[in-house]
Amino acid sequence: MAAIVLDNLVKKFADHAVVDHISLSVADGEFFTLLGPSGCGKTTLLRMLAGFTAPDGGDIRFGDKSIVKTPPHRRECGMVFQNYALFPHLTVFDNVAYGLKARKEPAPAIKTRVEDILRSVHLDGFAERYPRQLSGGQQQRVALARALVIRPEVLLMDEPLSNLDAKLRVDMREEIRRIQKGFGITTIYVTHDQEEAMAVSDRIAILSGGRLQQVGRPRDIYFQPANTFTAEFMGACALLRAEADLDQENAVRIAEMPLFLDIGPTPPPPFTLMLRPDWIEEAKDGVSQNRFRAVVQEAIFSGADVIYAVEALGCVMRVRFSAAKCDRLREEGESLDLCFAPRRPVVIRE
Amino acid sequence: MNRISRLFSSWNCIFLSALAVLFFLIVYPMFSIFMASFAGDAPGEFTLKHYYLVFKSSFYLKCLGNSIFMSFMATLFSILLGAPFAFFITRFKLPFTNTLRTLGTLPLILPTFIGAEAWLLMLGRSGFITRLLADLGIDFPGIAGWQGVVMVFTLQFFPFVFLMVAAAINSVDRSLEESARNLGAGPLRVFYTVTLPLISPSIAAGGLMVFCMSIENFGVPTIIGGDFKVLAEQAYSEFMNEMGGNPSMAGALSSILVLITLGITILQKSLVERKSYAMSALRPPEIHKLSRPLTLAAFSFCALLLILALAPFAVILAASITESRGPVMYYGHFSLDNLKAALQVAPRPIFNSFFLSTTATCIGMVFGMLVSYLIVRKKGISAYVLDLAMMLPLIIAGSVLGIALAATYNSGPIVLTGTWMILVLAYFVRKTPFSVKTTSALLQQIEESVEEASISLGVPPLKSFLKVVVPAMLPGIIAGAIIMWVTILAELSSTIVLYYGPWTTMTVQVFQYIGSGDFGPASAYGAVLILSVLLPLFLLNKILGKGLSPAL
Repeated sequence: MAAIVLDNLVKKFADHAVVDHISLSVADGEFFTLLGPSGCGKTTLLRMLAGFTAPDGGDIRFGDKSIVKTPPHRRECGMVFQNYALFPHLTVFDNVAYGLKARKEPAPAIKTRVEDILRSVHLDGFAERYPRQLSGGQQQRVALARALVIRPEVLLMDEPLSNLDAKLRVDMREEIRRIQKGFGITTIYVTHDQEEAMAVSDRIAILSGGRLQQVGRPRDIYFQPANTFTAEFMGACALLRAEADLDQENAVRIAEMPLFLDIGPTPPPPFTLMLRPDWIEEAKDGVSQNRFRAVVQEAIFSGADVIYAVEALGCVMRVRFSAAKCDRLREEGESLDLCFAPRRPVVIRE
Repeated sequence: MNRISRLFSSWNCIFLSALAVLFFLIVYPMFSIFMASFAGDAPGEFTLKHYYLVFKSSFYLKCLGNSIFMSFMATLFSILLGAPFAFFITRFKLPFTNTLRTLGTLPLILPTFIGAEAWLLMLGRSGFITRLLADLGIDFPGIAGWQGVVMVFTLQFFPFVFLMVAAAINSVDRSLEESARNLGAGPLRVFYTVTLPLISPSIAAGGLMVFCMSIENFGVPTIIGGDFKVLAEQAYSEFMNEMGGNPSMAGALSSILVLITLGITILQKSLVERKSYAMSALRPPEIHKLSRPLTLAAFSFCALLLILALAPFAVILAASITESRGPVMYYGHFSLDNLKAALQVAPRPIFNSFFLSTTATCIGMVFGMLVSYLIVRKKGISAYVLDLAMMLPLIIAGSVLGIALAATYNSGPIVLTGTWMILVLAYFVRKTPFSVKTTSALLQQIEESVEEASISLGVPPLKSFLKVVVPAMLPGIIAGAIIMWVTILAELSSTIVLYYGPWTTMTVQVFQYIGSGDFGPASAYGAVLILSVLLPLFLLNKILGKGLSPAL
């Protein structure tokens, strides 16, 4: 097990920097996720950790030793590939035993360790099957077992759940989280799914255009995004331009509406405020603070929630109500009064 | 030094040795005869005399015209027969489809000159069908001439078109035709606007194969052409006549031949390859059930074509056990003398063929495996160069390559001419592209991450290749090896230039017997050759449990 340090890492493809001076440190045993849209450089970063892509500048350290010059087969990285990359000509047992045989472990030890790891991923009894005889979820767990059984210093996972269906994806990510904590292994996880990232990670790094946008715990990134990219990537939000209100203290004007804020010191106006759909509520009778009128443009019922796209405060924003608390579904064109607590909005500084 | 390049330094060595092999066995010899074609009588003199002689001589011009005409006609007929054959058996529900498909690939393994011999036995001036017709009072002059040559080529090469078109049809996803139908196009319109455009690159690719195979072939025109002379034949005889003297004329003819194939290949690449669409069908097209008369018509077409294409097999096998005296066959008189002579009295050619073929195949198998890996995996300039270089042997006629090798390694620091090794080298370099083709096709389907998984589990790159990639490539390697082995056994064009006395092969033996009119012994060696080619293919079919088509 080891802590990981990325120091000013650069990778260019034909003069285009896909990884642009990235520095990060990941603590020993941490579940760390690289999150970003496709083409943001997250997979390139992961492949540099695994040693399949050579950096053009900067350093990578596992513990306190630089591994940039270590060939991939000596890096002690267990890797789980997006398409699992199981060896089609080997059984589940031989797939999992592959790395142990390469390390010349004695046969009885291999047998015990393979059986143990298969049990911990709930695949005991599948040892003699071939990969093609397994379902997607089972193949995924073989890939995980194969990467873990060599007791690597670092576990690398490249969108391991993207080939599974939605329900299995949720089950598997809980499983991966449980196994990772059980082994206490430093893990770098790559995904483009922000919900998945938040569900599994200790910390997340948001990448865009090869640059680091923000690093932090899931809730920090969700509630305190550093910039508009992060704010929008982590989930739907309304970004509102707040102008100075000269009449009142602790107030700003958005689309000429005076709105009160209770969020500590703010930069001098104008600045950007963010509201997530679930921070906005329907205004009850008698509430007058931060109350504004909205017109429903679209209503979507998704089971637990009702999501409305509404026109309000000079823009179109989404609001989300718990379906159980709604007495009826509003129609398109209906208007309603909304409000938000003065403590809720977040200032986006970039 | 860059870390990655150090990582794959063993691959760099393999890349360089692959280039060296291609340089010494193809580029340098071809360059030498190309230069020799400009050599004058005095040393160092540069002259266009030989080309001038070729283009001034009405005889050579006639040969040039004949070569192009014959190859064009063979290509045309191969497409006219091979494409419908492919379409019928892939899209319509016909009886015995699998059998038709398997039999449809068989003509490819019949050595062309043996096919020519068989047709001569049937329809030559004294062929048994010709005599049968004469008995009925019909005067048939025999098929000698360009008609016979084109017929033999068509019947033997149409499977190239068939295989490529069938593969293309099966890779057109059903949804494409369905969406055309859904947009209001009738079946015929769908065929002309969707199906045909999508498979036309494959028709052209198959046609190109037929053209190249026809123009380089000299056995068939020699045997069945009569007065119809072609360029490949002339290059060979110029070289043989002038063994002691001036190889410039052979060089000029060879260069013209290579330039024609090169030109046609470039034309095909630039016109057609732009229009080829990479597809992999999730659901291959639907197989239609035709009405009874239409089914019968389509089936009869396929069956008749196959009967004609496969008749030579039966004729040769029958002739090998028929009593003969020179060109006269005593049909109905059963005799084992010819086979006995082949197997007991003179088994050396059989041994030679097997030995040379096996040796060249073993080298080619390893080489082809490494080269296809480099081409598929190590992308970039070097892989591109290697990929192009591997195409070279395909466009150079066997006899031309033979002439080039014989002339180049006749003197100087390395003398190979007149040894068995030069035969092995010629076979190896000529047939390895087959191995590269089958192996790289399979390799393309193996995800690179499988290999990376092995490396990240602690196995060094080269060892990962052997442990993970090679087993997955194995079917392709085996298929490639069998194709190499079989085509080398049947190889005449380079052998006839490069062999010498003790290393006479079965093909040379057959060719010489045909030349001297000894059809009995020729058929006996031919039968042995056919059986030794059929057997491994039969085994391959059993092992892989599929038709021969994926292998070929």
